[in-house]
Amino acid sequence: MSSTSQKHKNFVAEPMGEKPVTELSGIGETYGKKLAAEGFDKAYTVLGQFLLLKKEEEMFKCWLKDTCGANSKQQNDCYTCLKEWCDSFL
Amino acid sequence: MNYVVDHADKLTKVKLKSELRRHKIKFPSGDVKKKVLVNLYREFLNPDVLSDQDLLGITIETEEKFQKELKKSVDSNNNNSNRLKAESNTMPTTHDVSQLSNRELAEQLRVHGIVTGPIVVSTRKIYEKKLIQCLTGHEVKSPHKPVNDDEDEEDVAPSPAYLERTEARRRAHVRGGTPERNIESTPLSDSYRRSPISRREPIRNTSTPVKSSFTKESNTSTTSAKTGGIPLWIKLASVAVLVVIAYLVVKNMESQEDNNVPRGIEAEV
Repeated sequence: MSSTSQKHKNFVAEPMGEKPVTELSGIGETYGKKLAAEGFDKAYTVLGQFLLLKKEEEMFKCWLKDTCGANSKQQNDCYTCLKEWCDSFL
Repeated sequence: MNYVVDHADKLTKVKLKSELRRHKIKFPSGDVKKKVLVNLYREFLNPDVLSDQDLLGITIETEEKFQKELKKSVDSNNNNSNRLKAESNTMPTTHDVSQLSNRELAEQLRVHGIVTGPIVVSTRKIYEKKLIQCLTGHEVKSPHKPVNDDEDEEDVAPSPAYLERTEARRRAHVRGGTPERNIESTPLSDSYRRSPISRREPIRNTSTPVKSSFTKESNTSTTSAKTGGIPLWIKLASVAVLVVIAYLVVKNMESQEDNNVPRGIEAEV
């Protein structure tokens, strides 16, 4: 799929393990630092939040926006990445 | 009609006194106990005495008084159900929503048709925001300004896990068989040394994938370039790695001097 980035493809290819939050598609250094400041330093913590919000798109995107100020594209990338990961491994 | 009489005790002493005074009913001067005033009120101010205006005024006043007292008791006792009653007439503010307990917040959201997950420390804020949005119809702004993050997603190289997955998928797709056989061909090189029977099998298996992989890789490399998939150099690198592995396997097997058994392998394939 050419619509998803290489970062997305890399993330959904395997269990996330101890990967840092910056490995998530849509989360770079800037957002990664903000998330880490809130306690979400590992990708699995963001996964936890995603699951707590019942994998709902709107709620998760709203949370992401509030927590690190991600724009709509980054919100979508992150949501899609986690959703696909869950479809494969959860 | 007994409303006024029944709710006489809800009125203040001042109000009771003024009412009694208005209807020219004598009551003890100085510091009078409210009970006394209430009794006098009930005794003398029955519906026959009071006019409709009086009744209306008193009922409105008692109702307002009731509301005020209700709010007071709510603040002091932190009685949740009463608070919701009292606030039902007013628009909930951010402060009010934050005063709700987790369960109440969930209940309020459910009333608005929103199915919630667990309301915990990290999710509460979002659900509060959602409720305010539902009640006021306005979107609550987030504290952060959207920033264009330095994503540099274009420069990310494919991870080994991703490469492995795509290779396996491609082989399975092209061959039309099970991918496990090809992947297992290399580890079998170790196992065959231990068991004499399995020696015959891997020889044929390893030789064919090497040849087939060459042709298939060359075919798929062109197709991937057209679709804009994995970069060409990545593909060539993976091919080179596979060739090296296959070469090592073959070399190991040749060193065993036990490769002249085509019968079993042909039957196998």
